[in-house]
Amino acid sequence: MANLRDIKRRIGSVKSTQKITKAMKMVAASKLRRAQAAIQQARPYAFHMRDLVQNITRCANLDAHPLLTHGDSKRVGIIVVNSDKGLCGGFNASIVNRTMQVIRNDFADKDVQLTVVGRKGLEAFKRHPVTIRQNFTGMTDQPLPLSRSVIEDIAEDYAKGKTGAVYCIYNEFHSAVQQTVSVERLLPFQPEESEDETPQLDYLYEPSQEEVFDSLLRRNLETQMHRILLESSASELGARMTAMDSATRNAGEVIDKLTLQYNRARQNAITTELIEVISGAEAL
Amino acid sequence: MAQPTLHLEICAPEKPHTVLEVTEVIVPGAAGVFAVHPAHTPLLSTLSPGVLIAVDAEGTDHHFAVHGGFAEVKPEGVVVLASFYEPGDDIDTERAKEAEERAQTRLRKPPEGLDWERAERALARAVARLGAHSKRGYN
Repeated sequence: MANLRDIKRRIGSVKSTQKITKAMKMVAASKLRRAQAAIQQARPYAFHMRDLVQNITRCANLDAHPLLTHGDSKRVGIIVVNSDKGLCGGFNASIVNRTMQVIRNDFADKDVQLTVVGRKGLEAFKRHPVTIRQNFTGMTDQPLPLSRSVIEDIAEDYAKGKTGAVYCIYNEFHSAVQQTVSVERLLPFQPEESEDETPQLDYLYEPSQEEVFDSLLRRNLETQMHRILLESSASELGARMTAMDSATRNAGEVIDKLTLQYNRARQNAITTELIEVISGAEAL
Repeated sequence: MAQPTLHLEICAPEKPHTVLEVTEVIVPGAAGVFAVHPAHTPLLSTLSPGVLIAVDAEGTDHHFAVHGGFAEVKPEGVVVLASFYEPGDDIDTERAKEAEERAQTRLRKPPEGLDWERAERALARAVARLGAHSKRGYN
């Protein structure tokens, strides 16, 4: 039989844990509102730019810019977006699992190099046989400059023909309770399945094709990366909110069970005492 | 007869996007200001900081300060992918004026190691914002 005092102490500790998880849930919920607004604002811009670049690739001369050419390098770059903080359920684990699955199934004959964003992913990948080229942490504070630095080396490698393709694996945000792991190809820019329904537009370029490509292609990569980081941080907060909500509920259940045990133990102690008193009185 | 219209979309990162049905758009392109009417030939242009004017079917002008970016012109519409934009009515003129003065004094009396490009861009942005607010045209 557990000691009365021990049970009481455990109830106290579970209660304070519950307070923490409840507070974390509230914090995540309020941050989520802001993150959700940010991703909703970033999406139209990013999607328009992606469509525009895909339109260009359908009709432009692919040798016109290093970022448009197709390299035949066996090296594949994968950008994996995780979170810096834990306590968000399966958020990071599902990304890491999906990455390993993609590497095993789709890129078995390729030389895969990872660029890891977020501290948690880095810790996890250290246990796997993968090459990590670069890693970035401190993601939620400044998504725009971060996306610039993430893209910088990747774009350069691709432009020089060192990498043949660049993919990104991240959590796409649907709602506070639904996030899905998504694998997206960043480079080459061509859409993966070619539907030829949209008419080809042969653009005039102003001031010149070169100048437009120079700034547009690089900007497109940054924009897509920026969007992905915002998707990921909104998803992270959503995942944390859900995880903390179930943790709070779970703590409540544990408290109920312990309270029952505590009351039983207390009742037992009283009964024993009573028996002692009565049998003591009878003995007189 | 209803006039043919253009579908204008303006978006920027970290800004809600604007959708308008218009009959004419005047765009501050990097190689000069140009006007777009319905059924324009496909065109892709970079933008310099300036004022974008959209004229809707009632003839009302909508002014926007646009700070660089791209404009994609298709026969049926225009998509403006700005680095940043502001509707003329939302602009804080006090701040824009201050920024303009600051940029001008910097360019007139350049301090040691002045980043000329940056100062010039700042001036162009301030001028664009003031222009969008005062709703001046390009005439």
